[in-house]
Amino acid sequence: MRDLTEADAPRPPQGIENIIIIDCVPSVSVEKVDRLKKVLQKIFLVYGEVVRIELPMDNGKGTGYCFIEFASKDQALLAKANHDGFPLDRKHKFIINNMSDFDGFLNTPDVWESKSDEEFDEKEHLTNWLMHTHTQDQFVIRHDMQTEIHWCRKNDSAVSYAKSKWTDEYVAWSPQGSYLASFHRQGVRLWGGKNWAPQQRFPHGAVKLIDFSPNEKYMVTWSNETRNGAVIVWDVKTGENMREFAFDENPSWPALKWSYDDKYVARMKEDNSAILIYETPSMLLLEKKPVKIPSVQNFEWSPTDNLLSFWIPEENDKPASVNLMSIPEREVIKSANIFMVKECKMSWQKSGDHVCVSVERWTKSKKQTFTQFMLFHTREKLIAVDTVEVKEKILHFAWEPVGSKFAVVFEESGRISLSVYVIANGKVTLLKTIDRITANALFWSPRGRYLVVAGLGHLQGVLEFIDTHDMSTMSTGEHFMASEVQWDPSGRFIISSVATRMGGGTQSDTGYYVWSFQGKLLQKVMLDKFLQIAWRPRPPTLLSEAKIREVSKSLKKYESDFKAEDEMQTTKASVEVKERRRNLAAQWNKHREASLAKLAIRAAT
Amino acid sequence: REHRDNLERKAIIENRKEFIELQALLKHRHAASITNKIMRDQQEAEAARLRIEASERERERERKDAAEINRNNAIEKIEELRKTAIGARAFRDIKPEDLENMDADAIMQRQVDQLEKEKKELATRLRAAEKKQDYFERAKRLEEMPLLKEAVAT
Amino acid sequence: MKPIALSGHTRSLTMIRYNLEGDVLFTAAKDASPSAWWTHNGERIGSYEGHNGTVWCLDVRFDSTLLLTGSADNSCNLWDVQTGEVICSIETKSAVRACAFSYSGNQLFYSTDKAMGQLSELRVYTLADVNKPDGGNAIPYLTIPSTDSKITAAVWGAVDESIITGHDNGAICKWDAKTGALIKRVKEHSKKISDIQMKRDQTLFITACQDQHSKIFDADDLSVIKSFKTERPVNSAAMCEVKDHCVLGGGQDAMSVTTTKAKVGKFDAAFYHTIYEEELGRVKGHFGPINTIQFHPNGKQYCSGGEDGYVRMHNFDASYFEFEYDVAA
Repeated sequence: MRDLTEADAPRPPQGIENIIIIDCVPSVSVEKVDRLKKVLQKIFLVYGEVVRIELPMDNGKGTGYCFIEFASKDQALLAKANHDGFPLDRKHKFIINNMSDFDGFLNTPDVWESKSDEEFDEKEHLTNWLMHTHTQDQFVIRHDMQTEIHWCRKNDSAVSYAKSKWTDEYVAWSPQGSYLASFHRQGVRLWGGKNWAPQQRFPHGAVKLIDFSPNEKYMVTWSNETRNGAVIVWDVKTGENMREFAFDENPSWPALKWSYDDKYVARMKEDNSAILIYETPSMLLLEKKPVKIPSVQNFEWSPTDNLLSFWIPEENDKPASVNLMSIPEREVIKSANIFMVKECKMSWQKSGDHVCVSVERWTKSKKQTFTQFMLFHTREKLIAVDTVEVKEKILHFAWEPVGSKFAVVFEESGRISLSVYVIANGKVTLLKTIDRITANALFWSPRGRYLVVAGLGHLQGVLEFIDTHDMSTMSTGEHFMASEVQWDPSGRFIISSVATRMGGGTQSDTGYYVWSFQGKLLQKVMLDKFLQIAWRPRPPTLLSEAKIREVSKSLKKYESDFKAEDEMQTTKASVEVKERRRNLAAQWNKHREASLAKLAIRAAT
Repeated sequence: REHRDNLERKAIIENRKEFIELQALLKHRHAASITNKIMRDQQEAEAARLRIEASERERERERKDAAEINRNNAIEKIEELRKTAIGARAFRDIKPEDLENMDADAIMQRQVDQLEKEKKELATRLRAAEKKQDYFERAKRLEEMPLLKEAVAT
Repeated sequence: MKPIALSGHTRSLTMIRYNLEGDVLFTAAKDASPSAWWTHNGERIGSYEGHNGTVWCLDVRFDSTLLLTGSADNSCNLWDVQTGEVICSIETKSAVRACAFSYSGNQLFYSTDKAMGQLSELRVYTLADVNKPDGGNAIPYLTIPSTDSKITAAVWGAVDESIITGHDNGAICKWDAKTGALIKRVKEHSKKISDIQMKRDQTLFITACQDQHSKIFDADDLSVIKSFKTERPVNSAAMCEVKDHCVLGGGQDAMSVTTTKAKVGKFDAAFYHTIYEEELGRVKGHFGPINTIQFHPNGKQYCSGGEDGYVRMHNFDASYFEFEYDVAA
């Protein structure tokens, strides 16, 4: 409804949208007006032709604001997006508004209307969705112009909030689910709370990619349009631009990698000569100097400690090496040498206990490669390293998020198989290999134990649901042409989806399926112009390990309540359905009677 | 005259003798033919009996062969099924004498029964696991809520 | 439910129709031999030889004495059902796409394709004019040219006062069967209407459309009463006369199916509850799209004709009749 009224509101006369108003410009005397105009002209020329600059004067002195008219609305919006908050000098930081926005400001009621508790309890609002006693999870879907937040229930889903044209591009969740980011011409906006109120805006024109720090304190945006290859780090709470980085080329994403505690953010120096680590909130180089590591190839943070893993290729008879470095000490606490290395991929286990380096090595003839896993057990005193040889081509590797297993989908002479390994007592053992599967990807439950192997895309959407406890296949399913599989944060549901490819011909049967973690198909939702689906992440639990164990042991206590709740839900649903049917039948019968009566009259004449 | 009478009598006697001999001969022939016929009949009957017996033996042998083949098939089938995980469980504790009485249908039935049984067991196990997982997650969330409220308040 | 597969046609089915009693099923296909079958056992009674092109449509008079067929060989034939003889053949200037006897059986119409400067037309005759050896020269008492896109399906309206046509562009028109005046035009579909089937009491009709929808219209004011959305083009749709069920048949056509998997094309017959618009179930079987589908008049059977050249005759199981929806009292 809100959108409708917005759209219906009288539009400002043509041209007003081309004008921006800048507050906080220096109030200069008459003589200096022209000079200031020139300065402003220069600043804003990058957005296109500056048609007019007006500096209103009052008693021979500047009023501290000015109007700038551009040739088009887009230019005005861009100027606002990129120069709102622009510091002209120490004292003058531009506050830019679009002229057309002023209608909105003018319509602000004179009397302050308290907007309930929205302003005050922002924090509570951001975690509002966690407070529902029905303990369901949410996901966002986009189809056509529509963006909807759903509660996922077992056999259906209930729309919790819906909005048309919420975003120009796609939407993205922050890692703990507090915010939903929308993308616009003028920048990125964050939404959150019970009623999805706007929480923050980041004026960065035509942002393509974003990334949050793990604790949602900071956000990183990248746009290749406004300023060449600009990556900006923002403070989520204040909306402040913390630091900008220019990238010559499109950065591989994420361009900046965050430490687990949001304390550091790091990136590779372009010439691979160092890792640049910045400290928050100052965003200055840690100890004012880069971490020099000649020809470093890639690095990853531990998800639980301020520990970096990185690798260096072979050079002049010096072997390649994989290293672990503690920050801020810059101390290499482990280094392992390897030969004949083509490529290394590092993946940390979620609990930070192990890091697996998948090493692609050349055979002696240097004609072929094979893969070897190096497992660093970081919690052990000397950080022991295990190696597991896997001769085959690795299609997908993944750590069990909770627990100490890892799974690999690999291909050997056209046959695809799945192997699951377990680390116990510092030893790696192969649990089982399941041969001849149709898969190119695997997805662990966020709670561990269960996993889904999937043949996505050209493998036509075959899904196999496996319990790694006994390595049994619980069931198999198919979602034809599915291109994506996502676990809910609780490990109870899986969504497979087929989205409309943008500009890529006609994709039929777009929509999503909801499966139980055991592979029972619960819901099938087909939607035209289906674009995106994403589960809302949850923050890490506040419960202590002991408490979780206690809950696990005393499930009986909750059982009757949950059972009753479920029953009520089903009854309620069935009552609703029955009621709907009754109404439909009544309508139908009425219509039938009327038309049969009409027919009788007609036949008689 | 007497001589003539004697001669006549002799002739009569001769005639009678001849007649009697002829009668006897005829009688004998008749009897012989009857015996012959009986014997022939008996022989034929015997031959027929032998033929029937032979064919019965043949049939019996065929039947036995078929049974043997069946049994072999059954064993083969079971062995084959035993190689599959499910078959191994279905025929784990089968006795050789039971095997004698099993035909292909019975074997299949056993296999199907086992499949059904395991399917049911799996379904029950999965249902229990599903419930446990669901309740566990929900319970944790409920327990977490007061902590969340507290966290918000501070 | 074990279907009887009627194999007799050598090419794709185009239209199947039960007679009024439902003891005989008439089928038309892209081969030139429309056929008649006993519905209790699927035995072929005979075929009607005389066309030499695809037979697009057929209709049987209520008393099962006369059969009307329209063909791509530019003719519309009237047959003696029993003898299989052609009574007369009307030559047309383009392919005949739809044909039907009126409810009373005293009138008939056929519609033609748009081709080579030829408008798509609907011609209406009295049966008396046609039902004689020289009936081929009969003059239609009414000709309705379609200024819309071509007519792809057509049925008689209530008490033979009107004719309802479905068009290539998704439009549905209602015409006065006496004057040929356009009474109403609606456009509730966006693509070709493949099939229109009238409920026997002539108050409702169901459409099948390539836009993946099937809708039930009020035959009087052409308002949409019910709508069924599927995930494939619908080629044919029928309403049951006994239960509030309808069945939709269709599938991606061979050209747009990239793989040969039947699942991809969705060649199954989909049953819906007419009133609640909820899907009841699906019946698989055909190897290609279902082109034509109809319920038996007594509701105990349905038949589907497929692109695969088969007609499948299904007698419903007891469980089908036992199932009832829960409805709040």
